[in-house]
Amino acid sequence: MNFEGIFNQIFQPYFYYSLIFPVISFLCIKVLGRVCNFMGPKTRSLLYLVPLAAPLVVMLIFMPSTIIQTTSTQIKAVTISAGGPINGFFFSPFMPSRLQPGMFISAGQAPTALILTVTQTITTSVTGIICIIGLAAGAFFASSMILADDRIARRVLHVILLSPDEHGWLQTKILDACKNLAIASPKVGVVEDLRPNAFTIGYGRRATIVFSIGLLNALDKEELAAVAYHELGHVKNRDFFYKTLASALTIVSFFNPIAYIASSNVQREREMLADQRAIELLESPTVFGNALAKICRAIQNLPKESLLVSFSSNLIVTSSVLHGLSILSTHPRLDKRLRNISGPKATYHLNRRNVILFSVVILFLVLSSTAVSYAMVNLQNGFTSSQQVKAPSMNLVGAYAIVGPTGLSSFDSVTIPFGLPQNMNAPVYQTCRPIIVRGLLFTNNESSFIPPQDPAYGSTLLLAQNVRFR
Amino acid sequence: MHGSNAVASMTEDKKLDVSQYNMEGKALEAFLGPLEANVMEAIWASKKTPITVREIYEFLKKTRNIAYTTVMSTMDRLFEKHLLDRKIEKGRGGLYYVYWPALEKQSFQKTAVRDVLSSLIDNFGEVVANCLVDETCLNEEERKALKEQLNRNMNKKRE
Repeated sequence: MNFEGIFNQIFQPYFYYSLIFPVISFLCIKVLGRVCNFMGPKTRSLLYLVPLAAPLVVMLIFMPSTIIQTTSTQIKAVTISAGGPINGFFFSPFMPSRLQPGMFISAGQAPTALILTVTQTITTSVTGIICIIGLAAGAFFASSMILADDRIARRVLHVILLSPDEHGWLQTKILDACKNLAIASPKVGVVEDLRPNAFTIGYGRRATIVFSIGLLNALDKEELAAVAYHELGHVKNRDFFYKTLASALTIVSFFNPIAYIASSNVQREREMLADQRAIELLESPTVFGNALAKICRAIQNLPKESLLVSFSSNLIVTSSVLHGLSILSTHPRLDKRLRNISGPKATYHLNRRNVILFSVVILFLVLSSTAVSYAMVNLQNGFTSSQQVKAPSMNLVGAYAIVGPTGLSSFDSVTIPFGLPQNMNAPVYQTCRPIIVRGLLFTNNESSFIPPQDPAYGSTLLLAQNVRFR
Repeated sequence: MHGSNAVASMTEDKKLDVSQYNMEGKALEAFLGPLEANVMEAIWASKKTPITVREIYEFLKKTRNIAYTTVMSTMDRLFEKHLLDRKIEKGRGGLYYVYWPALEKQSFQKTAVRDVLSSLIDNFGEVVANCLVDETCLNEEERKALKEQLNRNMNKKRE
């Protein structure tokens, strides 16, 4: 694939906007979080969904397409027979780079005509297909999770549901807490895993809280209850939907690294929130802190969990506490969690300094992102206006510029992109941005000239008439 | 004395622990609790080795009402009694124990019966010999010869 091909692939609107917007909005939120201390985990978790949802908004404007239409032009200078009319036009998506001085007809030659071959090629848009696959997979994931998460997860993870008399005290604790939280009491299950772990699958009435055998062995009763409260916190906070939404949107932008980071950020904030719920239900936060510390110690002695498990199980209480790549981990670091639950309840306030800082940062980010998008649009269109092109040395009576914004399908403006002779009538310049010159039409015989319709698109060609060349 | 290969291969610290004999129990239940016997039968019958607690639980659940944790503690006990061996395996569900029988059914029965018998002989040597001989259908002379033979062997063993 040549440079132009790669260029066309990358600059499929849906593809590059859904790459850029998440990056920009994620950076905004990251900076916001640093600068402003008035946001709690709940606000932050919602904000981190913005970069993930950006591609969906882009999709409303630019649908991803499976094809790329390109037109290419071959230009050949040919001598015309005496007196005969010449009519012609050519297209090029990359006009400016091709409109070099003297390009039409070299000086000293007899009057010539240009024979132009316009070929339109339709190539497969790899990036477009990638985007469509992402969208379909995301939709499939979200719907299957919402319809059957509990069944899928129970099957994949081999969850065994406990009967009411097994670990009865724990089940009683859970029942009591559910009454407190005003939620339907979830089922309780175990997995055979020897690593201490707990997670919730499903939502609402289908929710199942699952403990690993390792956890049941490692913790005492109070600590187990604390972990159960954390999981109930997830149920109460409806974190299933946050998790599903974040994961589905990550699948949609699976080609965008920032999506993974944003998604893990969402989940970390939800963990913090669930921790706070657990503390509200407990008499002393130290029990939950102890449980977390114990789990960490126990995990250190065991091998790390497989990717599949961390992917398929929802809201695992501990999983990634010790993972090295904390930027991608779905669980906050232990010290952060302990600080979150042990400190006095944080108050999030707004002061003038923060507001000013906040505004400056946002302004900077908006401006820089606009500049980036603008630059990219121009890069795609080429820099049309400044090229000087030597006029052909024949008496052309009409020069028509087919111009339009980014898409080939719409033409809404006109400009003549080459230098005009002094002694001619002033042409009509209508310039507006963005402009791309798609082609030129010319003739040496006004009477025989019929302004052609664009053969490929059938739309009206805007023109500047009576442009005379020497 | 230790004729069986399985027994011979058992190390000192992994000696089969069948400390009880239940006169009421039928077949394996003479040596094991009812659930233990069920679990052992299930493990011996299953084609899959090694096997997890969950798989045994799911098998037993078909025929009786049983709790997972009960099966788990039963298999834990069987491991302590050295009827089962286990190791930690890493797989789809994380890390979990997999179990396999330390002895084939035949050798377990043989070992268990011999353990009970040798305990009986140690305590009531002559009585056991007499009883064994009485239980078998032989004529007077054969019994006498057998009794002498048994007594000789037992005395040799005690020395």
